[in-house]
Amino acid sequence: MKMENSYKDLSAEIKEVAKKVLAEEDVDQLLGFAQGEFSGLTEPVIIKKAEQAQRMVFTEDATPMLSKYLLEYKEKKQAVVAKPCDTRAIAYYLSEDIIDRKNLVIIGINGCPGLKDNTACDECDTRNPVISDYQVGEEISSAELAAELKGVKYLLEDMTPAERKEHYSQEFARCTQCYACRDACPVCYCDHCYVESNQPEWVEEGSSADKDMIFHLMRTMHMPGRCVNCGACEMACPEGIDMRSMTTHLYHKAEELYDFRPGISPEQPPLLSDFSKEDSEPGFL
Amino acid sequence: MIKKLTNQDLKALLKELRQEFLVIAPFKVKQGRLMKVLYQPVKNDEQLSSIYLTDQPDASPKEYFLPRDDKLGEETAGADCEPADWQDQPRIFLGVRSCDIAGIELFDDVFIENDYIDPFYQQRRENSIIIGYSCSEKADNSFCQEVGVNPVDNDNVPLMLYQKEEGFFLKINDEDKLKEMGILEKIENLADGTDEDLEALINERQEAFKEDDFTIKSELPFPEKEAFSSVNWEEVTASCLGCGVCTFYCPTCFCFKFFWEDVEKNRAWDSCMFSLFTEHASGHNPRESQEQRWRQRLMHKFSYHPKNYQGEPGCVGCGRCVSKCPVNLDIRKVIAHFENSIVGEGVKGNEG
Amino acid sequence: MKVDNYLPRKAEITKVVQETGINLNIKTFHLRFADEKPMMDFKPGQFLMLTVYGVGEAPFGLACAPTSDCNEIIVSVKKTGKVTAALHEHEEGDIVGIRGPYGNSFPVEETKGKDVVFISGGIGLAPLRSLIDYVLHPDLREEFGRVQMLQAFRSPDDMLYDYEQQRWEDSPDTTIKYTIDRPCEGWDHCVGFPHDLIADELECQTENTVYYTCGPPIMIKAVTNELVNLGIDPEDIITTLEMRMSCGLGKCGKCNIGHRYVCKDGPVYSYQELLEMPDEF
Repeated sequence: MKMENSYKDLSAEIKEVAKKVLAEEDVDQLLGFAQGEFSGLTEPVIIKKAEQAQRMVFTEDATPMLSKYLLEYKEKKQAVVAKPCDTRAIAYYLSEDIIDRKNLVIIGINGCPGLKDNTACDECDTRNPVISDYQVGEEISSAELAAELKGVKYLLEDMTPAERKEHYSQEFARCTQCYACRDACPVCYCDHCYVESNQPEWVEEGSSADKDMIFHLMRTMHMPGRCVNCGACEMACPEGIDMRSMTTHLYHKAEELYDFRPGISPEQPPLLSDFSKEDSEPGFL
Repeated sequence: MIKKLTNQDLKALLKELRQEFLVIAPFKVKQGRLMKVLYQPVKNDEQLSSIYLTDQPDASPKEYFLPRDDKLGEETAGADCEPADWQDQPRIFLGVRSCDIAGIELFDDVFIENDYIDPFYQQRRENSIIIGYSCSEKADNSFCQEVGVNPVDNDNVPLMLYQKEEGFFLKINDEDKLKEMGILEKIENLADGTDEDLEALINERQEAFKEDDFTIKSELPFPEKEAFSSVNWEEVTASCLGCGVCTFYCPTCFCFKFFWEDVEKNRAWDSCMFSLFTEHASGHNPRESQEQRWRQRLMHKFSYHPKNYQGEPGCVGCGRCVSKCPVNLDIRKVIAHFENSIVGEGVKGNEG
Repeated sequence: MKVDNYLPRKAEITKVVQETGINLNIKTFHLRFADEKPMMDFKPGQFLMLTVYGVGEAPFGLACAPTSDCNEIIVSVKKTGKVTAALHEHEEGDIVGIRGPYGNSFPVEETKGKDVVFISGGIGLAPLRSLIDYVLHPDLREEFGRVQMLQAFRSPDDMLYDYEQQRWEDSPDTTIKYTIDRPCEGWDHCVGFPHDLIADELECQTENTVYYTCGPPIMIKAVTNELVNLGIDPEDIITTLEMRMSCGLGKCGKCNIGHRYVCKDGPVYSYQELLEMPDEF
């Protein structure tokens, strides 16, 4: 039995902390989740007044990464309800110096109960915030986490290159180039994505499996040292494409080869700009 | 004319139709972590047993009329070349709900209109017979009745199917068309149903659709000027990620782009939610921010399209854009915000 | 009802003129249809879609007038994107594709009997040329009143159609003023932005005159403002918009401003119409 917090308890705590933050901290806005007025579905909301905090929730469908929205309003002082994976994305932003810590009030979720259908949560190695100013929920101990993670295997481990190609060709055949995976990803934040470049045109227009493969492979190759393994890409995909397993593969490789996990501390030097003579050089794929 | 069919009758009819037609029907399909309901061609008679009519399909049949990737022809062939006959076999679409029928009717208005005809669309459309399907319950996030779509009954398709507890009613709306396509003779011998029985079923279903907490109060078209002067779009669409899911799943979104593979000209779906959609070669972009693009999407459906096409709404209320959105951004919320803004009531307290 | 399959007619490039000096970024292409069928019918102010085979297509305003002796199509092309860059590599004898003409046109009939003023900025002169050549054509010249032009260019090297200017200047009752952004040795015409020069260099009448202006959006805005300040009726100020036209038929959705599809009920609008349109261009 998992020692994790209930969504209901977390929701109640978030409401209280959000009220306090909005009342006491000098923030312009607070990013959180609420239930849609008509849909009843969990949706990201921007809250500006303490009295609005009452509608906040945390549910098993709180998939969107609120950390990503922080970048939209960098100049503002913002509070954010952050799942542990969000806190890693934020720590990564700080390590890359693309957002100002002074502009952030982080409400971290301890002992994150995970999200429905998100396979990333099954292999999650960060169930408490890595950086926060306020916390809700009970911490999960490292012993408990280690016990849970025992035996978790990542998807590509046992596949041969030919099997991988076959698998992903089938998966990407469904890609419609809606780019929801990229748009939902907290660390896909380039000002000008290579997809949107037409001189040179990296990704040719059209939807053949080859072209879709190029898009996904290029995105994957931008991910080592960045992907915090939150699973938002896969959860956003309306075609149910398994693309996280590629970035996750690199995530685990970076850990295995360089003892590197992105976004575990704001002081961490980024993987690809840090170097030592002893680094192994097996190549990533 | 109304016919009464058992499950076996329907299967037998479809089996017969398959001799001459490509039958396209909804099936349950596993896609990665998702189980979806999608229109797919029936490949053999055995598959007829797996047709799945119970839930609203995840996608409308629009890709069969305006494919996501459409080959228009070799540009060097010149402007006079006839579109290739890529689809000789006429098609029957089974189980199309009123929202998706309305989507196809909207495409008809756009692609077979007075001044320009799109021969690619026209050929596919004229090659297709639609058998409609009466909804027995409201699909998630749908609001079809608010945009004038009757989910329960439909007279605009040649045939309309109503599933009962046991078997079906089949209403024949267009005998001439069915005769012309050689379908009528296959239906005539089925058992007759009565107007009264069908009406009773329809009335009973209408009841189930009465309650809805969402209403559109304004007349269409929504006022254009106010959309640009009085509405804070950023506030209500802030969570939009800028992906194209809502437009790709929309039964009425028809905007497209061309792309080239050597001299072959192709057409693909495009989306007003993408920044590149309107960006000029010079880099200038008339719609630079995401809320401007959202304004475009909403206004195209509720203002520009109705204005250009005799008041017809550009939305069929199927609710897919809400269900499919990675952040569940709800078009109903945006409509309510728009209406509240233009009537001067201000923004509702719980908009956040 | 017209069926349009979005595919172009083949046309041969009969002449390529390098228009500009230092920048070398504007070329004018003369084209003739490669098939036996008659030349397309078009009106001043319309545009066409030009295909570079294997690369793509882009919209260009016609820079020629549909006069009785017109037997070729002229477009001026500034190198800005993928298609225009590829087009600039083309030479005499090469084959390209043409779709169109599309869009509405300059209000030629309404301009007849009136004085005409043309104010252009840079390559904005190209679409205006479809009307300039029409109005100044010897067979048609009598149908229009006095013609004044104010042509603005960044520098003398950026001038367009210098080989046509003398012919235009020699037309009856026609004056042309040229201006460049900054003073330059050997330049004995005006210096400065066109909107600053209108009051002094043009004789602007509020009655019986139609003002045509085209250029970069910022210039069009400044010029129309100045004209309105001088008392010109916004109905008498005509401009043409550049949007990202793609299908040309009002379907693909890339060029709309509010409910209007610029490729279909534009690209020519009066300033009065622009005032009523949302600021989305």
